[in-house]
Formats: sequence, C-alpha cells, structure tokens
Amino acid sequence: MTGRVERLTRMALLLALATVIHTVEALLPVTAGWFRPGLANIVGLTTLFLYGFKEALFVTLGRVFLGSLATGLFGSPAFLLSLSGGVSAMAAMGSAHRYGRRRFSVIGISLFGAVFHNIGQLFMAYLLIIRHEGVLLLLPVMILTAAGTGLINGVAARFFIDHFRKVTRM
Amino acid sequence: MTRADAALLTALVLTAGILFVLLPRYVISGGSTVEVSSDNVLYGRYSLNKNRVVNVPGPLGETVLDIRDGTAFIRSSPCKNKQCVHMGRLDHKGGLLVCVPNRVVVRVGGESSDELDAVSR
Repeated sequence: MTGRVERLTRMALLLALATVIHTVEALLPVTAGWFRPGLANIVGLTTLFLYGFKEALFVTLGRVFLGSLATGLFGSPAFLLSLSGGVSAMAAMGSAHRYGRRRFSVIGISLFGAVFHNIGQLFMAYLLIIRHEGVLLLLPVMILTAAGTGLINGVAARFFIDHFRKVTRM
Repeated sequence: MTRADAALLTALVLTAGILFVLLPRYVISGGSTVEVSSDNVLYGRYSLNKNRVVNVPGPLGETVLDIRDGTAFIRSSPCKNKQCVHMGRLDHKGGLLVCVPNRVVVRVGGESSDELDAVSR
C-alpha cells in the first residue's frame, strides 16, 4: 500500500517538474531561430530509467498537455510540434532502452531521443506549416543540434537518476 | 559514456555533415524561376531577370517580395521576427526564402518538381 502511494507521489513530482521545465522553456525568448534545448526531456528520460516506458510516456504526454494549458498554446501549431516531438522521442528512447540498454548508457539513449524528437518535429512542421521539400534542408541542422542537446541532457539525466536513487533509496 | 554512445555521437555528427553537403544538391537546383507559394498553394511564378515587386498575401498580411537585377529578396513582412527579411538575396544559384509565420515560401531555381522533366514514348 505504501509502495503504491509512494510511487504515485513520485510520479506526480516528476510530472510537475517536467511541466515546469517545459513551460519555462516555452517562455524563453526565441534567440537562435526556434532552437530549444529540450530540457524537459531530462525528466522523461529519468522516468524511463526509474519506472519504465509507460510511466515515461505518461510524464511526457502530461507535460505537453499541462504545459500547453499553462502557456495558453493548447491546440496551436507549437503544441502539435511539442506533441509530435515528445511522442517520437519517447518511442525512440523506449525502444533504445529496451533493446540497447547493455550497450548504450543514459547518454546514448538521450541522443536517440533528441534526434527523433527533432525528426518528429520536422515532419510535423512539414505537414502543418510548410509543405515544401525545402524543409529537408533543415535536417542536418536538426541532427547536429540534437547531438549537442542529447549529450547535455544525457549527462544531466545521469546526475538526476543517481541523485533520485540516493534520495529515495530505490 | 560507453563506446556505443561515442559511436552514436560520431555517427550523428558525420550524418549531419554528409547531409549538409549532399541535401542542397538535391533540393536546390539553380535556375532563374522564382516560385512563390502562400499557405502551401502556388501563388505565382516569375522570372528572376525581370524587375518587379510582388505582394504576397498570407494569414498575417502582405509579404513584399522584391525581384531586382537578377536577385530576389523579401523587402518587408508583417511577421514578428523578420527572419525572412534577414535571409538575404537569392540569385540564379537558387535557394529558399521562407516566412513561417506568414506561410510564404519563395523558391528560386529550375522548374518546379511537380512538372514533368521529360516525356518518353
């Protein structure tokens, strides 16, 4: 019984944290195009390692919905971009975690997530905003930025996971 | 960081580099046709060699495209960031000017890919 309550509380904390990061990130001024570091994914990645795929998907979908309500962007293209990015990142990280856990560390799985986040977003941008083959020109830029953000988020997630395990004695 | 992580990271950077070199060759081909689309619909086709100003309507207002002396550039735009205005000029080597907020895409290059390249019987 306590186990279930504890689990629920921790999931709620993770979701709240992810939502806050997601919302604050959405409020950042757009500096370099529409590039964003995707820091909220650190929480999704942590949940994946600590609890599993279903829970991580729940946290990701939850933060996209709650975050869009907080910023007032629910249903807008920005929301759909976050949604497609989040879902593809989660699918990629889930499979990488399931089949490649022995080879890849948190950092590798974070890289998979970042790349597929950007590819999912680019695909959605193509569908929604500009149906033009020129969108493909952004692909190398997206992959390169994903390599950078994936690396940083992976390192951050490793610290987070270690700390979370220590604090909660999981 | 494991060896597989490092390999993945290297592979990503290499892929990005290769795509960066190769993609433009497939997507952009030089030419002197200026193709303007608004909200994913073709708005008009113009020659790069004839000076003219095109007012392209979009959801936010009119994006002003200037075609002058063999170059094309966005002169003004109703969007907030004005990134399209700062994208510079295109010449016969081809390329794209895009205003995402106003959904305007200007492409300079050869004939559009939805036309036939050749017909054989």
